[in-house]
Formats: sequence, structure tokens, C-alpha cells
Amino acid sequence: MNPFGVLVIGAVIGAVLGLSVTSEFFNRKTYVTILGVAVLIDVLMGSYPFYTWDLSVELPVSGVYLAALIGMLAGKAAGGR
Amino acid sequence: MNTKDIYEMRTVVAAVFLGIFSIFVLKALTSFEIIPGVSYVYNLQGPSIAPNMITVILFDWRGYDTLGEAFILITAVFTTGILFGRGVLGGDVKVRDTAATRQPSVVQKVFAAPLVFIIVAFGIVITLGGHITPGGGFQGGSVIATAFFLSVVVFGLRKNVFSLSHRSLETFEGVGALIYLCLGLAGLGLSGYYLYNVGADFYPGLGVAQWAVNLLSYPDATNAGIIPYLNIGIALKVLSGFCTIITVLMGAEKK
Repeated sequence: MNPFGVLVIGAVIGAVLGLSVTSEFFNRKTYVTILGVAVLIDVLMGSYPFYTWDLSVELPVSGVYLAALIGMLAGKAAGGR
Repeated sequence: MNTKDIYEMRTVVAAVFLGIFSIFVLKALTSFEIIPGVSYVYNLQGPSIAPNMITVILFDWRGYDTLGEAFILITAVFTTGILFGRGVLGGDVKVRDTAATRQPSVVQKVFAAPLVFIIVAFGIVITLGGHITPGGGFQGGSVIATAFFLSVVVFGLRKNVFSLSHRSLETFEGVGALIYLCLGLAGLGLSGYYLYNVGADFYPGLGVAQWAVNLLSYPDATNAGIIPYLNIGIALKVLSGFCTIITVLMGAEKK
């Protein structure tokens, strides 16, 4: 059984916190920096925190980190101040 | 219903819950019995039920410890608020804005905004992986709070990247406490022990209906029960506690 629930919870918490991010200090370069650094961190984290996935290969990235980050970006886009 | 009625109703509800809590405390004090660990069944079977010994020790032995830490944090927030925060959170006095006295450098401005995202996402990972790694709600909440610290230190209290209002902090604090309280009461109701890890196993011989056992029993041997949700509750409490402290300290005026 794949732990999709944790991805959803991570994205929801990220979205809730993303609502509190103000847009004033962000531009296109900021988003590019965030995504670039986040992908790098995600790869370096590997499969941390080691959820067990029913897949033939081990996930090379941390899905929860990516879900939380996407949730934050979505929350900011939806209702960021 | 006007504001006065709402406040009165809130006071009544708070008094009722305080009464219920007092009954449980008195009952616990009058029938105090020391049991090694929380459940001998869990201690014996813990490693085969929980993912690893970290889980067994962290919450079945230290659930109360975490609850005590949360109380310490609340006390710290109260103390800080009383000493430094007179009128700051209520908006009665003019809040000092640090950015007005010291503008952030270009490096600070450029890096603070992306760092907030990266730190918060990392804090969420630590929180959600607390039952299978040496992380947890306290650590995750602290990491998320550092994003707020960074934002406040660089941009000031009024206009910053991660602008958590007092209302948001109140909500996080309330939701976090409610999660912890409800899960603890679920353990008390279904097993006889407050904060018992309902879902990972059941304390036998307490007359729990079979349908309830089936409802909360998971076939997955690595299931951690309520621990991930406790971690989320604690993370919200710690996040709001630390952020309230930094808000009070940053807004305090030297008379």
C-alpha cells in the first residue's frame, strides 16, 4: 500500500502555511531559485523519511518534501497576501 | 448574538471543559498506580507493531513527556507575553518595526524569500517523518518557526515574507492542542490509557467492541497508529508558541 496520504497531508499543511506568504518580495527569479534549490535538496535527501512504497525501484527523491513545497506554492498562489 | 454573549458562552464552555479535565485529574490522582511503561503488551510487541524502537519509545513511553514539554512552552509564551508583550498582540500600543531602523542588505533580501519556502518544506518533512526517523512534531515545528524568525529578522515585524498574524497563531495553537487532546481522549476511551496508541494495537480485556477493533485495526504491520497525527498537533503548537514569543520580543519597546 503506497502512502499517498502523507503526500496529501504534507501538501495541505504547506498550502495552509503558504497562505501566510506575502507576494511583495517575490518575482520570477525567486521562483526559479526556489525550484532549483528545492530539486537539488530533494535529490540529496533521497528517499528520506523512508516511507515504504510498493514500487519496483526505490524513489530517488523525497516525495513529502516536494509535496510540501508544491502545497506552499499553491497556497501562496491561491491566497498569499 | 453580540460579542459579549460570545465571550460569555466561551467562558461557560471553557468552565465545562475545565471541570471534565479536573474530574479526570482527580480520578488519576486517587487511583494512582505505577505501571512499568504504558502497556506491557506494547513493550513486548512494540517492535513488531510499530516501525521501529524509535516509535515505541518516543510516544508510548514519552507521550506524556511531550505533553509536559508543550505545557512548558505554553508557560514560556505566557511569561514572555506578561514580561514583554503588554499591548503588543492586542494592538494597543504602536509596534516597533525593526526594518524601519535597519534596512536589510541585498543578500538578505534576495535569499530570505526562497529560504522561507525551503525551510518550511523541510520542517513539514521532519514533522511527517517523526514516527520513522529521529524527527517529530517539536523539531518540525521549531524548524518551521525558524523560517518566521528569519523573515522577521530580515524584513521586520510588519511587512515580512512569512507574515503569520496573531489570529493565525491563535488558530494553529488551538487546532494543535485540540488534535493532541482528542487523540489522547480517544486512547483513554478505547483502551483505558490517555494517549494510548490507538490504531497500532488494542489493550486487551477492556471490553472494546469488535467493530471498533476492526475499524481502527490496520493490517499493515508498520502502521504507526496515532503518532503521525500527534506529531502534526505538536508541530502546530510549537510553531505558534515560538512565533508568538518572537512576535512579542520583536515588538517590545524599551521604556
